[in-house]
Amino acid sequence: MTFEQIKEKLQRFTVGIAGCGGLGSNCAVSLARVGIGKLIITDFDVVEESNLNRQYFFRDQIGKKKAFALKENIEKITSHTVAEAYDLKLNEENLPELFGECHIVVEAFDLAVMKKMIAETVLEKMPDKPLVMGVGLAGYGNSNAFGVKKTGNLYICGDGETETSEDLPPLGPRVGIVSNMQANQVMEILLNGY
Amino acid sequence: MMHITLNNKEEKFDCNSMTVSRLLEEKKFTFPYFVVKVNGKVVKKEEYGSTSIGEGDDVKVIHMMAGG
Repeated sequence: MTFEQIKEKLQRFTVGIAGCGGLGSNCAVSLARVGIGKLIITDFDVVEESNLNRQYFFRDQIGKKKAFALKENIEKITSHTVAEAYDLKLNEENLPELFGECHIVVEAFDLAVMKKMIAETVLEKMPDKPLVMGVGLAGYGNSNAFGVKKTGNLYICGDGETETSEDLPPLGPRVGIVSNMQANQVMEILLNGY
Repeated sequence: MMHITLNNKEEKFDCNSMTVSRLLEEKKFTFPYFVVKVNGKVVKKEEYGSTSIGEGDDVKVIHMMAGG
């Protein structure tokens, strides 16, 4: 497929991005660059200086709501992707409503409890919708550990092992790898599966 | 004797069935958060004690790790 053909096909699709932190901001930007038609982006947080080691924001956006700041950045990159931004916290109730129209949902939370919540909610309430998760991305090095595991409609990108902590922080390179593995997986599903 | 597939690997147990809670205990799944699927269907935490696993079942226990 040429890039023109890829863009034309991806233009028809909507992807939900659950969280606009390290995984969500980078994944959304990658998907916008390749021509996804619409992104539904959600986050309840604001941009902080400590986020700039890995998240797709800029110094002059510190203090802004992440969902709106990311929409701004997407619109600076392309006019072909509609970014619908929501400043809210996702839960079992609003998730199916917000992402109902999406062809795929990308899990981009930081907390494990939220990753569990979205996995269970999508598997239970939207079993036909592919969910692309990012699990295991802490620290640096060991690029060979990354992979994608598929079980049913659940795709898990990452090393599946490392958990962030004081001594194993989330950093640009490994978070960038996993977020782009997620974007790459979304492309593969949309271009090959529909 | 019960044979199940756990995370794509064959496993044998000296019983005919067991609950999800028991399996998690026996296999020492220690992460605080994970998602459990039995034969493709999600099993939530409050159902671990009442959901039983039997011969031939396909069980997935997927660890959820913080970071993003």
